Amino acid sequence: MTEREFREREVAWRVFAHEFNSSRVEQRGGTEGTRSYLLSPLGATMNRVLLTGHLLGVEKAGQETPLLRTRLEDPTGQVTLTAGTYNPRALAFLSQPHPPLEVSVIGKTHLFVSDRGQQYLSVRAETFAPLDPAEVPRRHLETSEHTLRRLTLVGALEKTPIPSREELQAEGFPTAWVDGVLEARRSYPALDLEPYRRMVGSVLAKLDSG
Amino acid sequence: MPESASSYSSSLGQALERARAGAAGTPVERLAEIRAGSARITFVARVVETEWREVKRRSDGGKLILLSGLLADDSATVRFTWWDDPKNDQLTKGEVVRIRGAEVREWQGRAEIRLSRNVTFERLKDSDLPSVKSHSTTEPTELWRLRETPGGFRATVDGILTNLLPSSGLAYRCPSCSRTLQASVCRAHGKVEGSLDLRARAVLDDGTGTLTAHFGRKETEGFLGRTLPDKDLPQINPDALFEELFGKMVGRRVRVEGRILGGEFPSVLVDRCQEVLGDTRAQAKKLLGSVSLRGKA
Repeated sequence: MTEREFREREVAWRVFAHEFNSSRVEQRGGTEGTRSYLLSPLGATMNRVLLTGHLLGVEKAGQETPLLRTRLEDPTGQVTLTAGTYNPRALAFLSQPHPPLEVSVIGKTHLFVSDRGQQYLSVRAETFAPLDPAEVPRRHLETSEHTLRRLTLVGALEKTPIPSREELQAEGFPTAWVDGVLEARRSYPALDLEPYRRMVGSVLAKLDSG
Repeated sequence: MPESASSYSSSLGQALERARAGAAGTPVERLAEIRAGSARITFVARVVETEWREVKRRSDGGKLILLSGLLADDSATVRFTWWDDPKNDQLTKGEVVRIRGAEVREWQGRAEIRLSRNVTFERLKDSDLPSVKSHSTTEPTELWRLRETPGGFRATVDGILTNLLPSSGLAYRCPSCSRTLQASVCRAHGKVEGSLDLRARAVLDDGTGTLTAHFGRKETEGFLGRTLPDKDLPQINPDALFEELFGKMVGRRVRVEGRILGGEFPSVLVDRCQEVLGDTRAQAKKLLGSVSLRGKA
């Protein structure tokens, strides 16, 4: 990883809970101080994510140091969120007696692998932003658009000959997305796209019916 | 870019124009090849954008009107500025001009054309230089496209504000040049008595990239939902103000418009800011019809 990449700000990927929870691969830099990325089956290379949905109850998770855990539910599933002393703003938000429930959360992806090899995915919340209820569908639309574009990109890269990055860039696919999908094809061979199409389709159908 | 018939004919057109201009004595430069430090260059370009700007003179704080904008040929788009007695009668947006006697300076790591009263303009009738429309900036630009931008142009960008940078809130500015002070010290004027101002710097993120957004006093007050008169600024607790701004800005989805500054970490000087609403149902319906949802036949 170059100095520039190291200093670059991490983008907040727009993903649904189902795509997030389907991620099984972590890319980690070899040396100390490099960042780790959770790679989704559709090529989202997530160090940071932005999720929007409904919070479901807060519980204490830490014994000695304050650590709170909650779950965020979006139209496709639930994601575990944690907030500890490293994220004082997120901790303060969840410590309120009645935190607002409709939120966007911005946070860092975390993959924990137990001794038995069980994977536990979560997001370490950095910031919670309470939302007006009317804003929630707009954000689900944005996440749908991004997911659909990644699906289109996966399809485009299954063609032979594989289009070049420049051609895909000209069609409006960000370079980082192209690299992510190429990586995902190696890490998730024989991926069935159908569940992801159904996922986006059902979110859009709900948005369309209001 | 692959060699194609159109790029061939376009470079042929350039060569012809170069030859025609060359008859006047000086070689005609292509914008991609100009280098900072060159004096009295001649080139042919389309005027993509012009903008009158008022700036404060660094030395004495006096006001200065300058003309700036963008010039493009088929090789590059370059910023220009005109400081001494600018006139825009020969720089009409959309037209192609031959410019003689311009200088090239470096500004923020990029070449910039300096026009002056010593420059001569000649309007050219037909040209196969790319049209202004191909440089249009009214549609929102996705942030991944600005990753290594030279900046110097206006753009509209959408995104969610994902963070507020620590320099947001109250800032002391140098009374003569408006630079922000670091511990009462101006970079140009040393230790000075600063005047208080209000500003915000936030991270704009559209899921494809990020951009630092600089909000001036008016936009910052817009987020706060109230104006803060000068006389009230000294009584404000900076930490409380920062927290208030954080709560009112971070997580909001906005569309901003302004000048893009290039460099390693590009930013936008916001002069317009609005919420993005849009018809969610109609857009959802449109996406439902998309081919990618249906899968393989």
